[in-house]
Amino acid sequence: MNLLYEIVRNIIVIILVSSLLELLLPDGRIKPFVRFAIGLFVLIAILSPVLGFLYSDHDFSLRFWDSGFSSSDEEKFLEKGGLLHEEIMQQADQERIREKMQGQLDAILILIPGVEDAQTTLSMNTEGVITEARIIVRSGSDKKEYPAGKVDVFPALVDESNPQENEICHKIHKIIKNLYGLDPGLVKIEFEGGQ
Amino acid sequence: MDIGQIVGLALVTTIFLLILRQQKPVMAVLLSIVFSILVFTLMMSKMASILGVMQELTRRADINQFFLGTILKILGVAYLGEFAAVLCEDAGEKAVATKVEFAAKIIIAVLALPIIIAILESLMELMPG
Repeated sequence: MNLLYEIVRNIIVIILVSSLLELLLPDGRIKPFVRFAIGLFVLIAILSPVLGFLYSDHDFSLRFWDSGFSSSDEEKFLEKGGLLHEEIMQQADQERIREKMQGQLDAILILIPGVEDAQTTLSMNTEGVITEARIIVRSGSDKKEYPAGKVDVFPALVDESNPQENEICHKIHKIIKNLYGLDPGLVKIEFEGGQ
Repeated sequence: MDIGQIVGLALVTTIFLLILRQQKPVMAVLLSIVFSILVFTLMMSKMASILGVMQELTRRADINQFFLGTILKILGVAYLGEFAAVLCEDAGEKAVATKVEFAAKIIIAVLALPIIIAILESLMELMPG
């Protein structure tokens, strides 16, 4: 019943629209062409509810529409998109990205037990890939005991003999490798000496 | 009254055209073009209201707006083609007028193509097997 109601409604609407269009048609040799197109329009209006009834989510296929594109075009678009992405990456404010990454790393590193504070400095190439990471770690728990007379002015490199520093280093290497795939050899870790 | 203005303008243009055709046929064609463009422009605002009603009707009938858009494009192509062809014929260039009509017909056929394919695809879905 609903279908019939829809068909009747569509036919009435389409009669009105096509009458209006017919009135607007220019009188000339092009007229039959336009009438043919209007005929197609009428056909669609009548078929619409029928197909809607038979296939619940049916819509007239518009694959061949001007704006449509084939799968080969899709690949071309993806390729172009990739190039565009590269261009944007090159042009993007790398400094801002670097700062954000440094902040993220600092935040992650202070979660490691024994690390009180961490200051990361990243070096990136023009493609936005990290080439080196320098990390200054301040460990909070242990207090280094230096023999009398030894004064640390600059940050000291990892003390191989300190097991806690070794463990922290190992964890930092692992985190950075997992996060950014950076080789441990490219990560320089320094511990702030003397508390 | 718009029709009064247009009739007045048409009468004046016709008188000028009659004179110009004898003296300077090129100027007559130019005047004819100017008059056609003027009438076209004047009627565009009226046309917009008709199109608005059509769009509303098709929206209510749940018909894809793409189809109405195409029909309107076809109508536009037909009008422009006709307009140019008549102007060319008036200027005595029947061959050019025929070519314009030919181009308009082809463009209309190309515009109608997606609708034909859409209908055909839908009918193929309806067919068993």
